[in-house]
Amino acid sequence: MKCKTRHAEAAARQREPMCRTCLYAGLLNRFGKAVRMQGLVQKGDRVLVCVSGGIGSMSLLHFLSQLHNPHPDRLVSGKVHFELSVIHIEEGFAHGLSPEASAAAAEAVRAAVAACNPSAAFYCIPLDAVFAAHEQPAAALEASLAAQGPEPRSLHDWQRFVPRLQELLEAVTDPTGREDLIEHLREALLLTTAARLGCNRLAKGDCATRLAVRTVALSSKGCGFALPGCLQYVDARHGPQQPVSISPIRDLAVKELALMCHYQRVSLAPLPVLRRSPKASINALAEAFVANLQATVPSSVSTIVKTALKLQAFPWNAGLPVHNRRPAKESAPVDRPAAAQPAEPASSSGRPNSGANAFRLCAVCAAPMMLNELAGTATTQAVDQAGASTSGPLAQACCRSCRGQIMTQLAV
Amino acid sequence: MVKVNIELSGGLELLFGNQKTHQIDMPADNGNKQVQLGSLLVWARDNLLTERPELFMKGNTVRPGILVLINDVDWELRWHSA
Repeated sequence: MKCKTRHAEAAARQREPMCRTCLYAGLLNRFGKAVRMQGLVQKGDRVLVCVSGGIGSMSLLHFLSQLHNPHPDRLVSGKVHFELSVIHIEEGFAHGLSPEASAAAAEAVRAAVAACNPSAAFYCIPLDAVFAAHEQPAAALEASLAAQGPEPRSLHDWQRFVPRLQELLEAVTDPTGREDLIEHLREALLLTTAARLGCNRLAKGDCATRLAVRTVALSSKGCGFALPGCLQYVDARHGPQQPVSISPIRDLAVKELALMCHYQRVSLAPLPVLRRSPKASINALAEAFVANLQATVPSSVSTIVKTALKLQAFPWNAGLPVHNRRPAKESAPVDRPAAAQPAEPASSSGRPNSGANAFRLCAVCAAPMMLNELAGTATTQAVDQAGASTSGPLAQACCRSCRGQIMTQLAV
Repeated sequence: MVKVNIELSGGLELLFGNQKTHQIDMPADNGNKQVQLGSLLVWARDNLLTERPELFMKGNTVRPGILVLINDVDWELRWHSA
């Protein structure tokens, strides 16, 4: 890996000394390999990159811009022709920022994206549009998307939903629940918008460190069953008609990406919000826990992720079919890294998400519901007869684990 | 006195009054023309930090998760070769 000609500058990847050129080449290579092997981005795809302004998403945008070939009829070696657009969900006000500060933060993200890839279309949607997307799906969202472009988006169309969002968030008193709710709303809005824009890939900047934190956090929250579904390259759980979420930088640690962003001058625009304390929520605790572990044992992140990847994934996580000029060579599974292989062997032959329709997902953790958890079955009634709160529509939309955690507290 | 340029990014600038670069003159250690990084961290905490010192330092070093580069070189390299 090391070129042995320049001085080492970075101690990434378990403190292996490397110069910045080798670090960058290695990262780009690992990203390209994941994209090729898993068929994450293929010719003609319409990719919507979710950008928060943080290290993961800005690195992902940088890598995808390197992979992007804007010319449909000119082949460039190592590049793919696809449509690249960027979406940012403005959610500063949901974290307690003033509307002006929130808009300024979104503007900073727009500037960072423009510095990274000036040609990509940029969409900025405020988080409260999640209500608009549900109530008036066609008109409101399209009006917002059409208003994008060189001139800044007018906030006024959305003001009426902000109090409603605040009200919803204020109803959740516990910080972990509120963070998760914001994430849940963001995911829902991303999915709706990507579908509305006609994108078939939703690219997310989840890096290995983020996955390690998620592993620790989800298992602490009792969402262990949902965990393996959230760690894979491909997540097509919402069915064949919906965009497929992809995580191409899943194998790269945040330190490598941070160093890369610094050396390559990738601008960052993190949300200017500080948590109340490092122990504010389960998510914050999990972050601090992983960072502490990583500082002492530099292989912690990869150990956590590798261990979590041993869990059996769901059929919707199967790799995407690779359309290739040389299918015989490329589709041979022998040269795939073991960790990259989705654990479900059978369904990869057909469409990856052909089975996804068969699942009903839990409304909270988005894991598939077991047969005996589905509403109205005799088993459910027998199991749940203890709690009166389990009869509501929300309770019936949750898996038993989430119902046990959330609904029991509601009943008290 | 030693001139030091401090650049902050990735969200750490939020703790320092949202200012990304700081040019400082700080007193040298023991009459040399050098400063130790440890004393620079403490100096920055006492003089530049505007809020939440617990998010910046833990004990006498930076909190885990904060990357430190000295002249664009990862301090873990310097630290380990020293």
